[in-house]
Amino acid sequence: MKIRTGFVTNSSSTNFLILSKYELSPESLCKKMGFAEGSVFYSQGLELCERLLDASCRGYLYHGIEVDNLTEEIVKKEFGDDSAAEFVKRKKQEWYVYYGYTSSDGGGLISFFTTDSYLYKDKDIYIDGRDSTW
Amino acid sequence: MANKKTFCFYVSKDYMNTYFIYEKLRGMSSKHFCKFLKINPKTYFGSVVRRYYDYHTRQSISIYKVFKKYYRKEFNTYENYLEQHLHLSAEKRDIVINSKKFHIKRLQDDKDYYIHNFEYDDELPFGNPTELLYRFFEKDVTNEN
Repeated sequence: MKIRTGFVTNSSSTNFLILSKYELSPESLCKKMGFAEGSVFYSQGLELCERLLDASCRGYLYHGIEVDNLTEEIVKKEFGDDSAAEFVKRKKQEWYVYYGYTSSDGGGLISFFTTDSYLYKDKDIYIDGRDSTW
Repeated sequence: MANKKTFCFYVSKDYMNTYFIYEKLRGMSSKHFCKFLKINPKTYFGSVVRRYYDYHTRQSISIYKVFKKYYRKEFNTYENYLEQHLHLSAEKRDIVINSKKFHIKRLQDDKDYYIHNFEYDDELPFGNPTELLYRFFEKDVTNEN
């Protein structure tokens, strides 16, 4: 994690990897990420999830180049051994794999999501967003 | 007749010295903050909300105890200390002086200082997350007017 003090004018991007046991819709991802219906954050959360799933169609940003085919080697280099092992294991179990990148120019929660460094996992989802270039 | 008053606020001495002052009461924790916002604390966004709350309150210290231990001789009275050392306005001094449960935290000291970027999101409900903290720390007070 890097600590920013002061103003930064350039934008930043981060790759994310989502492994899910079930096919994700914006609503189901929203629920998984903790934005319950009725919460004051729900509409922003839903927008974030829509944009994450949209971003998954774009590809993965690897050394500034969009890569369509995410491999174990890339996951290992970008997210580390534990995520690579999870990636291999879950692919064998035929989990759904979503990967892409978001930009801090996105506005709303997507900007925060881009600059945040996080790892979240539970029994049917695995979200790795530690590869922040922030 | 009761109205709502917020029992938390920020005090900025300069860019690198921002303090958060709040009344530490039972039943106030990051879990309760999640419940207040209807966010499941065991999810990704729940962890963000909990980090945000902890960033404001973790390792905070009692203002009154600090005054008693280190500043009593220098400032004589608690009110002087609040005015001259913490630069609190008369209105804020009146709030703080009525309870010894007020705590203070220098935000830049927190290991998770990064989470304050969350505050820059002005598209969030009520303006930004700071407003949500204010609402969480609100309580009913007697309106004497």
